[in-house]
Amino acid sequence: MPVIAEPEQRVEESTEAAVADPWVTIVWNDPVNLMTYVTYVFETYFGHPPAKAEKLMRQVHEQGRAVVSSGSLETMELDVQAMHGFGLWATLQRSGQ
Amino acid sequence: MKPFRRARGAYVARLTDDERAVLAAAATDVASMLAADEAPQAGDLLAGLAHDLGRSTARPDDPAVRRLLPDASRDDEELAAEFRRLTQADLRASKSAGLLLLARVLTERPGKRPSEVVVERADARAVASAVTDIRLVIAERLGIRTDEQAEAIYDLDAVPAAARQLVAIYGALSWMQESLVGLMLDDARAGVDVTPQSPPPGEPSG
Repeated sequence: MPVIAEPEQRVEESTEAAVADPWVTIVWNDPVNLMTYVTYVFETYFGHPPAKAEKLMRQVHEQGRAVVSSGSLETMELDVQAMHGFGLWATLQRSGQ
Repeated sequence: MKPFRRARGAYVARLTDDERAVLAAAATDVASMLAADEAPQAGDLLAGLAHDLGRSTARPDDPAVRRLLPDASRDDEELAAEFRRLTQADLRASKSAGLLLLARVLTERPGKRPSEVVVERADARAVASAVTDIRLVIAERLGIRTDEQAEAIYDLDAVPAAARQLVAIYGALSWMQESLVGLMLDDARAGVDVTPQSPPPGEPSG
């Protein structure tokens, strides 16, 4: 059903575009953090709308990791520090690796 | 133990005196672990100097502390070390402050009933993060590495007697956190979240 598939495609496109940024922040799955909490962090820290926050949360949970932000090294260090502050396991990586 | 609900502009749960005491002790224990990991060996002047010169940004030896202050890179040790140099002191301080705030919230009795545990909205994020930190430490101590292991700990027949207290604390904290964060998420979506550090652009500050 194209009506439902369309928003999914838009999310994919924005993920593709973000690859132009030199660094990314990755959040890794862990068996401790609750799904509600991870969604709360993605919504309130990154300002993602609920649907995007939940999609990223499910990606972490089901695929083991998700790219949650991209940008300069300095910006990604701030994001990783914030994720560690929340108790989420996050790492920095050059984009495309 | 009764889950968090909204009351008088705050989040309020109800705990027994025993539950309060055990959970507050767990919070101060984890704060002490963070401090101990940083502290030099007592009476060792050279170690004290080494500590001043950068021990506080070294990779923690204790795997549970390392779970609170994890490597920021999986394959680049230099980058991970640089990240520790930049952020570790701040992270350690903010985590300790959050854990001590949680201990205080569990000890004080500002509510209408003595059983009430009151988390002000402005403190909720720090409290939820501190609860997460304790759960991470307990999970590390219990050897929980997978989602399946996280489920299996509640099969008390399979858990060694010595670990049962930890499992009970882990379960209580998980349950508390689920009800607290559920309310926080609802409030954030309704635009009444209080985000002291970095509110998303355009969001009303109150």
